[in-house]
Amino acid sequence: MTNTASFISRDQLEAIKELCNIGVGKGASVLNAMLSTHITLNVPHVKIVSSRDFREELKEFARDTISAVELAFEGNISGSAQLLFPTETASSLVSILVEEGDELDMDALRAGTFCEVGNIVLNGVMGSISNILGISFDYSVPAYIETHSDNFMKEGSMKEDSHVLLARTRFSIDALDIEGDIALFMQISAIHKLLETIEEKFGLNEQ
Amino acid sequence: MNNDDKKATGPSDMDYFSGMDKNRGRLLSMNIPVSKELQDKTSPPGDAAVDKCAHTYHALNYVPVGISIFDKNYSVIFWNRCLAHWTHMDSKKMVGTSLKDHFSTISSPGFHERIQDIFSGGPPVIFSSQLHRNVIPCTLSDGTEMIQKTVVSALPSCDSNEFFALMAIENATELSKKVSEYREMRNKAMEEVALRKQIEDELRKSNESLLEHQELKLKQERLKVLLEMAGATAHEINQPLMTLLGTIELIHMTQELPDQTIKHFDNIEKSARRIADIVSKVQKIKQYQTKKYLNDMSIIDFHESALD
Repeated sequence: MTNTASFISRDQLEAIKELCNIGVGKGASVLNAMLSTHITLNVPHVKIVSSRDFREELKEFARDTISAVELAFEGNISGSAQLLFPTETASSLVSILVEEGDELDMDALRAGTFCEVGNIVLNGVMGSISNILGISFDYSVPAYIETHSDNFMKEGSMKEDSHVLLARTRFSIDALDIEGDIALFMQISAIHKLLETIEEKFGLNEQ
Repeated sequence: MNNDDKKATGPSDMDYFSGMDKNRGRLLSMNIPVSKELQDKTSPPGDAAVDKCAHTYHALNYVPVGISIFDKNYSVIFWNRCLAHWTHMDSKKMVGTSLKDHFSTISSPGFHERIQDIFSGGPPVIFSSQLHRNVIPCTLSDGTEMIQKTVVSALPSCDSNEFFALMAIENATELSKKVSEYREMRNKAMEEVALRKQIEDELRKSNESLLEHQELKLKQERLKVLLEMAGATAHEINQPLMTLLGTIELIHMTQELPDQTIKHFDNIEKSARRIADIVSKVQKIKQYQTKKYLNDMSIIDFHESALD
């Protein structure tokens, strides 16, 4: 497993983890109000890794295809937030939520459902970052992406200094425990801005 | 365009704009800025605001997606042609009124609570066709209910202090139908594959059983022939063998024979007793056992075949 970037302190990581946990908690309450199954979401750990390390880590996380919901944002801090799952896991998640058989393909309808789930979780996280840190963003409409993990965020598709804030998220639905990643793709300058804002709000120091 | 033309071709763009007239008062309170230029062009004051709003979103009348723009009180600011066509509720009827008064789905917590952040510029909200079916219920020409995919996004108002909700509705009925058909075909194909596999398994088992049965039958036939052959051979050999052994015994009783001749008769007796032993084994044959012989041939193993 790759190590987190050296420029971030443990306190800053804890603050980000807390922001993510508040966000996914909000997402879970929306999902629970909407669905008949009970969902618990939590973020056990977060880290910031380079785009190269992220690609390596992703290949271990999903050896075959990956399903992602992307929410791009612009403003003082720009980037994109994504919820990532191995496609097989994403399909199982949808099957449980809509109470369908688990041998179905990830067709357009199921991709739409996964997109809504991702939208709810990502809105919770981005809403938490936006509201607590007082940052406003302009968002694009969330999009569904499905590709082989070797091709996801392929070299050259991201800027050299892009980093990823990676929050491993655990979905507990009834008897099922599955893990997905919430990834915030930002350039290094945007990450520093985010850390500065966290520092201002929480009185922490950047390393 | 004269009035007759208008009737023939349906409502004109300006009909959609003028739909805002009756609710002009409400629209004016929505912070939609009215330029001096536009105010001068229209009379009384306020028409310009309505026209400005209509002009701003006018292009949305030409997209194949149902579009509605509404404020935080759910008061409709814009209702496009597509949505008017789907709901049979034209812009005149909708603009300035509350969406909640027309569609109960809008008041449901699942919709209302999720879009609250939109009015402060929050991220877009998706309502998928599988989880919600539809947000604005519409009946299709065949009497079925339209299945919709809806995205609600934050739209900055013209003075940018406030955000409206832009609701874009895609008709996902055909897609849902095609996916259902595809799933049905897929399930049928899977069932057929499973059935074929089951039949193939059964056929293979039946074939194996048939081969085993044939093998058993063949073995039984061989054993039967072998036993008949062995019985006959033993019977036929035993007769001369008994005579041979008896004669040798008589010769042994004779005292005048030279030692060398007695040795020869001992050898003859040893071989005769060996033949008797083999005949005894042949008589005890119970199964068909073979052993390797010269030139890759197999011959019956009397010893093994006589064992229980």
